[in-house]
Amino acid sequence: MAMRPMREEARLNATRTPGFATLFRRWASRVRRRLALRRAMSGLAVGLAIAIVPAGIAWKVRRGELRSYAALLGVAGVMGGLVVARRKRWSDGEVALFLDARFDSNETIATALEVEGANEGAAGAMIVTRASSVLAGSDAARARTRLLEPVQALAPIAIAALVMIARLPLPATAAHAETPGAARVTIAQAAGLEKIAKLARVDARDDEQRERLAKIARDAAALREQLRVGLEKRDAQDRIARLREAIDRERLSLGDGEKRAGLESAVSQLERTAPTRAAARALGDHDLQSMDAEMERVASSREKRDRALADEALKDAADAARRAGASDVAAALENERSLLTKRAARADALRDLAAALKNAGASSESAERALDSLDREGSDDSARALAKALAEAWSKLTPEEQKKIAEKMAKSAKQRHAASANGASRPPDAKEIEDELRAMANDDSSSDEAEREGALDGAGQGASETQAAIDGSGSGSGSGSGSGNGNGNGNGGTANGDGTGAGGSHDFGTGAHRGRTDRVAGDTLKSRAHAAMNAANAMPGSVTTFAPGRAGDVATALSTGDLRAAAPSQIDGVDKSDVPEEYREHVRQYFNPDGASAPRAARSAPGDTTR
Amino acid sequence: MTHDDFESRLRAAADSVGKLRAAIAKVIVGQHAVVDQVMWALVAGGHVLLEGAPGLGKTLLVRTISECLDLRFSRIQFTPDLMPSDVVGTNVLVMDATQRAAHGAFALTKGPIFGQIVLADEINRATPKTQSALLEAMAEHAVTIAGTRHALDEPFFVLATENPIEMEGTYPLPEAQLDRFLLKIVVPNPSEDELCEVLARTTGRALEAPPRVMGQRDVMGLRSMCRDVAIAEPVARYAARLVRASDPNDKGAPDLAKRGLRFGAGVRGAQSLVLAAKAVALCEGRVHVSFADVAKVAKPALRHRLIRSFEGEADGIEADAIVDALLASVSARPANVDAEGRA
Repeated sequence: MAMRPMREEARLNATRTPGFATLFRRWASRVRRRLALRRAMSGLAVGLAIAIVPAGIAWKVRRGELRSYAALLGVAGVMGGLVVARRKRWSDGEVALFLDARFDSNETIATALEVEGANEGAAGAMIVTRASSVLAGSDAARARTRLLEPVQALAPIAIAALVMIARLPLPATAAHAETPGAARVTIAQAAGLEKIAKLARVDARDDEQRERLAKIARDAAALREQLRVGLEKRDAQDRIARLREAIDRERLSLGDGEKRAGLESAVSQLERTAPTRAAARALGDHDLQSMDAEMERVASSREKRDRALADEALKDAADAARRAGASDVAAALENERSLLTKRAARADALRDLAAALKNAGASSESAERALDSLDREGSDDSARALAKALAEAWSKLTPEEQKKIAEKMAKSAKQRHAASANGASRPPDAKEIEDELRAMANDDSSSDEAEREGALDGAGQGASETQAAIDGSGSGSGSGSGSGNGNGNGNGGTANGDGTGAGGSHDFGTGAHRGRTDRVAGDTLKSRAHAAMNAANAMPGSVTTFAPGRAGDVATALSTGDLRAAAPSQIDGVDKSDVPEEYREHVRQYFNPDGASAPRAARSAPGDTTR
Repeated sequence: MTHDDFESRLRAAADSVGKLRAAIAKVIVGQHAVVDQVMWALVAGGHVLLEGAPGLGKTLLVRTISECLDLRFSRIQFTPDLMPSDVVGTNVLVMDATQRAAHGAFALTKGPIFGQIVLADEINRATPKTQSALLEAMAEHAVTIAGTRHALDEPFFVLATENPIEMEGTYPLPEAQLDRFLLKIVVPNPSEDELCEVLARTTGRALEAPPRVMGQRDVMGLRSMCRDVAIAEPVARYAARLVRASDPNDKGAPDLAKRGLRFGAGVRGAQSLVLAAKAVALCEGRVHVSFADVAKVAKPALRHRLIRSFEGEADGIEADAIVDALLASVSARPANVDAEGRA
């Protein structure tokens, strides 16, 4: 039996019998070539199939020029196929067995391959001879290996796919959807924030307010610095909104919270007297500037009775506020009261001097107009204008005329003081009148609260300006609603102003956007920003508005109070808001008449008859 | 020996086989496969166990072969009372003319085993002791009588028969002894045409004796040439894989073998397979073995070496079915070549 060593020996001696060896080599070469060709074709198919992936990726990332290069993977596949063919190359024995199978030669070739060259005697020689004759007489077509494999079916599919990908138009550039508010805002000089920063120098009502104002100023300064270097728009909007909130809260801080009852009592006291009724309303609205202006008007009135009533009302209101624990309200009312006296004295003095000048024929037209304005408006401005006009008229008089008028005024004053119980004061001389007129022309006798509110108004204005600057620095974005069809593109609109205007739309759709929403006039809302509101569906999220209102009033009514601290729609919003306890109970009774809230109701005022 | 001489010898051998086949066919109707297998065993130098129902011509076949071959024929009818000495012979005391034992001498009386073609008819009816006497001769081609070893004349060719349907009073051959037979040939029932031909031949005039076509030298020459037949390594490995797959514990064994076998064929089975395949090749005028030769002799060479398990016997799994499963599961060529070769 011929075994492996015999086969090795046969190979070594193959050159000695060139007949069979040559024939076999030729046949083996044919077989192996076809096998290699098949592997190469399969490699090509696999390579082309794999090439679909990078070609697709190149198309997807819009690198169209790379698509055709992907086909080079087919060449790589061919090379890989040849490498595999080389590694799986058939041995001579395998080729011989294959040829025997194809030629039905009963393993003659395989046996000859082993015995050829070996000392197998006559039998071996006969086998080799027969194998040679088989190889020499066989048709090459019978020994062809398969060229096709199932995997090669991928080739036409892959080629079609590659051609399709190569001819496919590149996809449209993916629209870049910028995150709303993510744009950076840079404002080199935020003048509005400078106004807010000035709050640090405002004369505060107390230490707590001083601290709060200082914090607002610090925050404004920090925001100003950050805006200088750049800040995300949404962050900037958030920070400026917080500043505005803080300013508004400060503006409404008088009689706020636990002192609310004191404020209400003071307002009630002021409302009882006609001259102070308007001031009461202004106080209720926390419009201290208006209140001060109203008190200026009363103080400058010719009706002394009104002044006396106003003085009495202010005193009573201050007492009521103090009793109710609203010391700040009481202090503000006392301040107004002292200013009332001072302003009344000033108005009287100016009127006396104007009358004296008129009697002396030294009055000027401007003085007459100013006097008329003072009588009509009663404002500090008109008083200052009158003082200025009188000072000019006074300066035009000779010293003798001034002295004469001064003496006349002194006599008149003496008679007036004599008529009154107190006559200790000394009438002014000409020089003193001139100095006093000059002082009156420059006197700014606003109340402390009015001055603070003026400063806060300025800060609020600054916040609005800054808000407008931030909003206007980038394109607005939002979601529009509507319906329609057709083609069109929508871009974000530009938001500007202090919160007015509808949000823009950011739409990449291809439909027409001819939908419309009717505008709803918002003038009846108590709002600082007379905004028009869209009658569209509610935007997601919550909208915080600043709608000062008195307890029990609706938003459309001019009211007092502060519902801003917590939106009523929030959980426990009503409990957290600054609503008087009696109104809370009223609401509870309305929604829960069965008295489920008895424990809470029991805490209400004993005299409450609504239960 | 030159190439031409060898080729002429090969041609002559093939002619001799052909003539023998033709001579047998004059007596035996059909049973070509059986005749071929018997000739393979004759050429390979092995012994044959013929199994078949009574009346199928087993004995006639053996007798015909013996008539065609110019060899000494002997027949042993195995019965339960047959003694080993009845098979191998014995020393007999031979008296001289005086009839006195003291002057007599032992003379060997050879038994029927000393024939060249021995028909062991119904071997399974003898006791194992007697069977073993025959089987020793089969394995060693020699017998030992009274301490003296006597070589048997070559060619020594035993053809045993057994009847598979009459099991009472029989002594089935142990597996180890079955292994001594090169081939176990199953004699099938004749077809209708063959039966008609048998009837025509056996119910008419007596047939003339078949011609003697081969002598001792021819048979020995064939056996010598059989050993010269080459077998390529892949073919030898195929035979080895077949035998290995018959081991139910081998991972390459088919499920049927795992289920139906307790033991598979051993080394002697592989030797028989290759030797018989060489005989096939030689009978077909080739001096190399092919895969087909191995497959062709797989059943007669392996069927009596497969020891069925209890489950196999209970399920009636035949040894031939298992050999078929082996041939189906064991690939002749390497897988890659096989796939290409079939294309």
